[in-house]
Amino acid sequence: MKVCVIGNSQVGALFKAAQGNSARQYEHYDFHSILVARNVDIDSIPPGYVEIKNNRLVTTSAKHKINSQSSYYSDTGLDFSQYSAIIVSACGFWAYRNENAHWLFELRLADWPLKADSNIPTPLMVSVGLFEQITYAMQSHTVTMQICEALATSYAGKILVQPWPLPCETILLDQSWKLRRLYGDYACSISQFFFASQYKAIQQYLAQLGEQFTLLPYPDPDWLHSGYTPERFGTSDPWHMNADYGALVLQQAQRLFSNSHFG
Amino acid sequence: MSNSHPYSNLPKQAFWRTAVAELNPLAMKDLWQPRFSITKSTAIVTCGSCFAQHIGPALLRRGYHWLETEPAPRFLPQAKQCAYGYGAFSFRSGNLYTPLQLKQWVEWALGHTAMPEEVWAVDGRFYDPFRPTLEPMGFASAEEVYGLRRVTCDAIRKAIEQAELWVFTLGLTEAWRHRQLGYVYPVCPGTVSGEYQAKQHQFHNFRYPELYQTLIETLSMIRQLNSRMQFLFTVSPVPLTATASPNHVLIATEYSKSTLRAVAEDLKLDMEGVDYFPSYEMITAPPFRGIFYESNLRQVSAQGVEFVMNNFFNALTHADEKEANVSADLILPSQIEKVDVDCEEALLDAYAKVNS
Repeated sequence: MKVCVIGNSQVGALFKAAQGNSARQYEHYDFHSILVARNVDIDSIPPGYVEIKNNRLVTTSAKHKINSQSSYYSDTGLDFSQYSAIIVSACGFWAYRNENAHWLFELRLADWPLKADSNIPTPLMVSVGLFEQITYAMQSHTVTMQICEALATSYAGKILVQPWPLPCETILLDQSWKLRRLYGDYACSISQFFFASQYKAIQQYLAQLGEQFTLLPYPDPDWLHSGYTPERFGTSDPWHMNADYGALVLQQAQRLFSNSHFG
Repeated sequence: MSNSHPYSNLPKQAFWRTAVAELNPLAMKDLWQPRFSITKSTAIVTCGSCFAQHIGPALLRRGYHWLETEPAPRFLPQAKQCAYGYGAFSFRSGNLYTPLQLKQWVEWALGHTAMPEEVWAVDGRFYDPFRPTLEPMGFASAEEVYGLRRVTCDAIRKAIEQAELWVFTLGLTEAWRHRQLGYVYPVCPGTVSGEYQAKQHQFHNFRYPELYQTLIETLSMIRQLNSRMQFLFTVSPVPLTATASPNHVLIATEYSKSTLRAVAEDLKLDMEGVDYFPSYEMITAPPFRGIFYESNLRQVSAQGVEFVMNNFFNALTHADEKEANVSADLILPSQIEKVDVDCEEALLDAYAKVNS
C-alpha cells in the first residue's frame, strides 16, 4: 500500500516522524509539500494554488512548487493515482501570527472582553454566525483545502485530512502576541473557540466534497478543549509541531488503514 | 381683451397633453429638477423601505460616493454579504418602512433615548425585533443582539456626522408598536419571528400630522449634529403586501402612499435643503401603465429600477453626459443587474388565504 502525504509546511512534522521511525513503518509513505508565502494578506491570496492536469496534480504558478522526492512526481505533476490512500496535512487557515492578516485580529464576538490598554485597532464586533461563516469560507483559500477539492473530482481512493495543529501553549508566554495584547488571558479561550469553530468548518466543507474524506480528530481530544498543543510537542515556532506530534498523526492514519472497515 | 394669463408662457412640461399624453412614456423628460447640487463627491447615505435597497448599489456603480458606515468585514465573501444585511443600506438598520422607525434609530444612535431591551427568543436562538431577518439563523445570545445593535447605532451616528445628503425612502404608514413603550417594529411580531401578544402589540396607521411631525423632529436631530445635511425623500412604489386596516389592500396602499407623498412634498416646501425624487410616480403613474411591475403587480422589475435610476442620474449630470434612457422598445438591457431585495413585509403574503 503506497500512501501519499501532501500539504503545506505541516507535512514537515509527519516527514520527520517517518524518517525517525526505526521500525520503518512508513517506508511506503511519500511526502510532498507546497509552501505558500508567509505574511500574506487576504488581498494577495491567489484564486487557486493547484489544479488537475492530465490526471496529475500541478501547481498553477511556478512560485508554488510541489516539493517531493517521490518518483511519482515529475515536471508534469504528481501522479496521485499511484497511491492507495492520501493524507492531506494540514487543513485550516494559516497561523495568526502578528504579521499575518487574520480575521481573529479584525473581528470579535460580543462576549470577548477587550483589554483596556490595547493599542491595536478595536476589532469589529460580529455575530458567532457571521464569524463561523467567514471561517468556513476562508477554508477555500488554503492550499490544502484546494488539494482536497482537486482530488475530490479525480481520485477514487480514501483521503485522510489532518486538521491544522492547535498552537503550542508556549505562545501564551509571548506578551507581544497580538491576540494576547487584545484580550489578555482571555486569548486562551478565543483560540479554543477558533479552533473548535474551524474544525467544524473543515468537517462541513469535507462533507460536501464527498464520502471519501475522513477528518482526523486531534491526537488528544482534550487539546481541542484547551485550545493548545502541549509544550512537549512544540518546536521553536509555536505554529509547527515536532516529530513526536507527527508520529501521533501517522499512527492515527495507520490505525485507520489497518481497520478492515475502512476503505 | 388681453390674451396674457399665467398659463400663456408655461413650458411644455406644465401641460398634460404635451408632456404626457402625446409622448411615449419612456421619452418623458425633466420629471425631476434637483433642488440642490449632488455631485460624485457628495457623501450620500441611503436607508428606508425595501425599494431603497436599489439606490446605494446604483450610486456605487455610477461612481458616486455612497457612504457605507457599516461595511461588511473584508473576509466575508461577497456572495454572503446580503444574507447578513450588508450592502443594502448605509448601515444595517434593516428596512425602515415608517418614519418613526428612522426616528427611533437616530434617537438610539445619538443617545437621546436608551435602546430597548426587547429581544425575541425562539428555539434557543435570539432575534432583534427591530431587524428580525438580519441574522440568517438568529443570534447566539441576547448579548449578541444588544452588542450588534450598538454597532449599528455607532454606524448611524457616523453616517450623521459624515454625510452631506440623506436619502430616505418612505414605505408605509401602517405599523405595529409596543403599546406601553411606544416604539415600532418593522413587521408585526409573530409574522417573521417573535410572538404576537395583543396586550403588548398594537396596530397603528400613521396619519399625516404624525408622520410630518416625526420627520421634522428627526431631521432636526440629525441637523443638530450635522447642520449641513440635506435630505432627499422618495416614496416606495411597492404596494402593501397586506393591510391590517379594515380597507381593501388596494385602497390601503393608496392611502399609505398618498399620505407619504404629501408629507414628502410639504417637507420639501417647508424646509431648506429638502427635496423629493419622484421614483413613485415613475413607476406607478398611469402613463407607465404598470409596465415596470413584475407579474405579481408588486415587485418592481429590473427595468423599472433602471428607469428610475437613469432618471435620477440624468437629472444630476450635464446635458452632454446624459446616458441613454431605457429603449422605447423595452428590450431588457443585458447589463441590468437584478438585485435581490430583502423584504420582511413581503413575507406577509404567506398568510394570505387561497381563494376557494
